[in-house]
Amino acid sequence: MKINHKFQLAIWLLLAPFIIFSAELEFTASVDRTTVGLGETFTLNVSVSGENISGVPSPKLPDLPDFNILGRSSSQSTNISFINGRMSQKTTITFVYTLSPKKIGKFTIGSCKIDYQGKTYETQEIEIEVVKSATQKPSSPATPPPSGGSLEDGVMVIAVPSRREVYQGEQINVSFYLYTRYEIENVNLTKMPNFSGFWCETIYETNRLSYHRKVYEGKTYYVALIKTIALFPITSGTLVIDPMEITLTVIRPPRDFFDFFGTAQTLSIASKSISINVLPLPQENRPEDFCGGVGNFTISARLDRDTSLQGEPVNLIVKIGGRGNLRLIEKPKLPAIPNTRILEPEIKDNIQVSNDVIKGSREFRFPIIPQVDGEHIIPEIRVAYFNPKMKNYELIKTEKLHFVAAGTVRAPAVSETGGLKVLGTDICYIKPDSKNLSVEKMVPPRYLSLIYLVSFFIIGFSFFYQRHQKRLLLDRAYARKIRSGSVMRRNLKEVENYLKKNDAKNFYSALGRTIISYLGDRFNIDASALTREQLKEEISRANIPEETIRDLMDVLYNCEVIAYAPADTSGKNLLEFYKRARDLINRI
Amino acid sequence: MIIFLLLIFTSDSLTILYNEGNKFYAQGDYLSAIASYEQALKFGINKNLYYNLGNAYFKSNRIGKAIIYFYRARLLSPRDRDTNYNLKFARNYRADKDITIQNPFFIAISNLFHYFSYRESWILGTIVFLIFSVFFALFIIYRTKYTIIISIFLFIIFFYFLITYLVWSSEINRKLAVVVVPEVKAYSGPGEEYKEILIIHDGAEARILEERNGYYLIQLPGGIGGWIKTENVEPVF
Repeated sequence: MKINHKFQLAIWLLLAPFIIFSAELEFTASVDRTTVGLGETFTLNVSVSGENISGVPSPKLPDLPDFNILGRSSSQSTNISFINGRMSQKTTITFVYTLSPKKIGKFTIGSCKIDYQGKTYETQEIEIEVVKSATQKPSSPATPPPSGGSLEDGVMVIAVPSRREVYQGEQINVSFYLYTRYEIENVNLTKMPNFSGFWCETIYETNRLSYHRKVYEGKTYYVALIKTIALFPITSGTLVIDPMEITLTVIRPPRDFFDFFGTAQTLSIASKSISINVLPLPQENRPEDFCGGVGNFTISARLDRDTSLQGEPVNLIVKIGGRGNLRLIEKPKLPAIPNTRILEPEIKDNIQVSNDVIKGSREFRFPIIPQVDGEHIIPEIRVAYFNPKMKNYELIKTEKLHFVAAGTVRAPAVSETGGLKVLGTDICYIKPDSKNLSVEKMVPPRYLSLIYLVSFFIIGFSFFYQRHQKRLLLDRAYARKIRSGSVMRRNLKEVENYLKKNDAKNFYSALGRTIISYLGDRFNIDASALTREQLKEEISRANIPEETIRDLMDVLYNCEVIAYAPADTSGKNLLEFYKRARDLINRI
Repeated sequence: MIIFLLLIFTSDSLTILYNEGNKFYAQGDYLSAIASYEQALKFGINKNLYYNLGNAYFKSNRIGKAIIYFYRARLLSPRDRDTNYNLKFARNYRADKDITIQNPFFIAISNLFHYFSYRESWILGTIVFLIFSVFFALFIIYRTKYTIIISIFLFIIFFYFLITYLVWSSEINRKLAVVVVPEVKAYSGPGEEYKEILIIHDGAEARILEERNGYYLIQLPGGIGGWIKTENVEPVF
């Protein structure tokens, strides 16, 4: 037993690090590539995962003096798994930063930090090697601009916002145009504006500059669209869009015969800052169900299945679709669904651009775990959003949904609520003491088989009885034969009476009648109407010995003779004759 | 003197030894409890005695013996929850587990025909058949609708008891045996000189197919089997 305990302890020690690990956060950082060309972009993914991390803050990025941060976004996913009937939930939030290097060389991205529940987590440092861009052609050494005219006047970047005044959360598009009067090449985006205070989504990004002619401030320029970005202000007030910086090489036309190819010069240009006036959303009439959406939306909800077996979660998918700041929409407040547990939703975005408008949908996937069997009804879900065109709040809602749960897992519910804990199982305890323990038998009592004999006898008897009753009804001869005995016995009693009175005349006459009626019943003939000779013929057909018939005829003869011809006979003779007659009847 | 008296009143001595075993069991002295219970068994059998003996064997880590006694207790009182639970518990506790997953429909049917014990099904079946024969006789004579309906109903009940009885008899006649030693080797023939083919552990259930030279040819649920010494296994019934 001691060895067993030690062995168990060893297992616990082995498992301990994993158990502690799983209870905390996992915090990692990674880049999509470690070698980057100058002017190219790469992404830094910082992900936080763990159980129930809904309140986790954004990570603090290290100082990145050698990189431009071009954009940031985040995504969230939830992974629920059931192992041995226990549910484990893991949520991962990934913060994605788009970076571009400023110069060539080897740089280090320092560790990102996050403070969560009093603990500080750090990621490992990542090394990035910045090389010359593969797409970048070697540029000729920079030469000072010729004294003739200002190059900057001939080349410029202009940022054009679609509107100057928007509501918080309303979309504005900012387009960056390149204006040039010269032939240019090697256009590189070196600095994207920070767009702080906005959620931005790229609508258009050029691969190849396509120019058209345009007159601007009295001069003819070739204009190309570099980039269009949709911006959704997160805060209200005056927000400033920083300049965009570009490096490019200008090729000036040859000024004289010797300057055959002209001169090439690399220079850096920037757009002007733009300020946007962001109006706050109206405070009055703001509904409680406001989810942060600004635009024009619709809502729909569905369940991925109608039935839940053994406590499987049913996913409630709430989809908010339409135009607007989809990524800023918060999860809708679900109404209370009794006897269920609702977990944190997994969020899935599907964003498209059409006609410079951000469209798409945001899906919230709520796993719902039923706690009791039966039908569960999900009431309508209400969400309000702000419509900037109408300048008011609008309410949208889903239909009622329902599902049926069966065989819900009870064990986890018990272990989670209250202090009840299952420590182990054992066999049931012994039966109590007894005052008088009876001796039992394993083998059934075989003598009960006799009851089967009785039963079959009862059924067999019923068959015979039924047959008899049927013949009595249908077969007259049978009925007479069966009744003959009792009739005869009744008649014989009369005869015996005469015998006792010693009345010879009546005795013989009654005895004769009795015998004839009995014979009639037995053989189903009308005996009283027949002569003795005829009677003899009838009886001889039956299987009766000759001698008996002869005897019978003799008795009948005597009865007839003595009944009608009175003679002197003694009582002793009567008794003897009676016995002889009875004996004869019994023999038939 | 006391023992002499005990021998005279068998039922009393059964009770006294049973209660004595319970006392030992409560103290945790399972070996003494087993001895008392085994002694009590010489005076007669009882479902509680079988059950407690199974418990005592289980507590002293003899799973095979425990399973045998739980099976026997179940034959006498198939509706007892504790007995069924402990039988299941002990069977799950074994080293060699049954891998077969049983169909819930099959389990429900099996439970239906194990509701009444071997003895009960025989006695009740007989009585029901007697009542049936009376009603059937009445039907034959009087030909009324009610008598035939009651007869058919009674015959169905009788048929249920008949099946229950047959299920129990087939279980008894199956010659189920349980390994009662911690570990036993099975050979390819009746003798140690044959090739060793299996190692079977305490509590494994097998059917006895044949007996020869002090060896049983046993077959495990999966179909495999071998020859093992008779003292290592014990038939349940």
